[in-house]
Amino acid sequence: MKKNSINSSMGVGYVSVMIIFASVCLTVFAVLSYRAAVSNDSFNRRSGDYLAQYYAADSKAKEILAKLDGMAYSARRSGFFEDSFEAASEELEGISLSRVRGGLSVEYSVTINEKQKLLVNVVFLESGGYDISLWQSKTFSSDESDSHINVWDGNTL
Amino acid sequence: MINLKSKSIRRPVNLFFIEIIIALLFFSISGVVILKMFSQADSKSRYSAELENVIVYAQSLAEVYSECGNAEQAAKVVWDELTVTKDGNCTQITPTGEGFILKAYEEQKPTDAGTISKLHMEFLADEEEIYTLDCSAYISNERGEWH
Amino acid sequence: MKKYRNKTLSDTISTIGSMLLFMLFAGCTLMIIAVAAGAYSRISSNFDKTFGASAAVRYLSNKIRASEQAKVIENGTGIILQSGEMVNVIYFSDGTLYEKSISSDSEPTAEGGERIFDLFDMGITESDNFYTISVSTNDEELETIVRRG
Repeated sequence: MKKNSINSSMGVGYVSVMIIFASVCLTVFAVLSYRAAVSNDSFNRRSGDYLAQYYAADSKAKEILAKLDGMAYSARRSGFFEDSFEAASEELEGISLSRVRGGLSVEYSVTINEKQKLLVNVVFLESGGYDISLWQSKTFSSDESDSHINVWDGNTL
Repeated sequence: MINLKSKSIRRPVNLFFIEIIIALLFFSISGVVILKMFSQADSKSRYSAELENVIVYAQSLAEVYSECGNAEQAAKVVWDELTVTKDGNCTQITPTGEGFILKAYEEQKPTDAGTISKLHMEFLADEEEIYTLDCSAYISNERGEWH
Repeated sequence: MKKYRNKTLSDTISTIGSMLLFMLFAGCTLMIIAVAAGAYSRISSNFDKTFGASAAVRYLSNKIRASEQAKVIENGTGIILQSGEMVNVIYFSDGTLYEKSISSDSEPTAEGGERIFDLFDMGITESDNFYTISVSTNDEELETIVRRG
């Protein structure tokens, strides 16, 4: 009879096992959710940052374009378009000019970030206006980059 | 002797209650930490989903603005239905069916041969800033061409 | 004997009470686990979404920006991007976005590319100075505008 009474009561340990199982489950779900949310967030932030960098470079490129257009406008009015434009554009750094049929081709670049730059090529026409032939984001080529690692200088072993 | 036996019979029941109380205590403490983690993950996820949406719109707006140099006009190209209110140099754009508003600050500067316009976009959801983007447009008097 | 019977009854009631309490406890625990699993699946579906339509839209717009010349494939299911000697063909076929790189001498065709994203639909339209890229997955639809560079 005594044995029966003991067996009829609720055993000890089931609740602990259940709680441990539930806690483990919840912790796993919480950690996975948090990790998913964090990586999602960092991906979107990086994407947002890149967009901001791109449009910062784009704005700079447009400022240069505005200056060049102003120079081209003055050069046209002077009557010696190509010479006046070439002389005026000397004050702007990082610009390369070449004479093309009907005007002057101007090429310049603006850095987007440490890996990319925005390449612009505009042809300013003697008759008025300009043609943007290139407005391209480009990855720095390996020969332009300083990010090479010194593996071995060839002297010591 | 009988008394002692009866105590030993009751003991498992008491232990069960003690265990359940300890388990609940442990569960509630760990539950607080887990819930906090869940709520952070949830708010990050909501923010992230909104940010993702907003970035795509911001890009479209910046691209259209580059061509027209007018925030309201650019917004009308991007969204079919929207409400526009103006307050000084700030244009508040509320697209219908979206969970955010856009505050666009425009600044126009005439140059020798055209006008350079700068746009600062602030995307807000529940009065909280989600994303900002600066872009610009150059509109030449002798309109340039893209090839 | 009477005393013994009473004791058994009280033990039975106590056991049933304990069992009920345990079952209630177990039920609540399972419910909490189910709620947590639901929350996890919602958060991870947001994560999947980001790497679906949004990533495809960003990928395409960055590719267009990085190209010297772009030409939309006739039915709008792809784009041919030229930069230097290389031509990239990005096209949508049978629920998948593919990409292939060929030299500029070869004829660009919308076949034989490598799988990039699984999508429901994708379309590129050209108007004035813009490309409009629209991408849809099973639960999201996104559209973006990119200037012709």
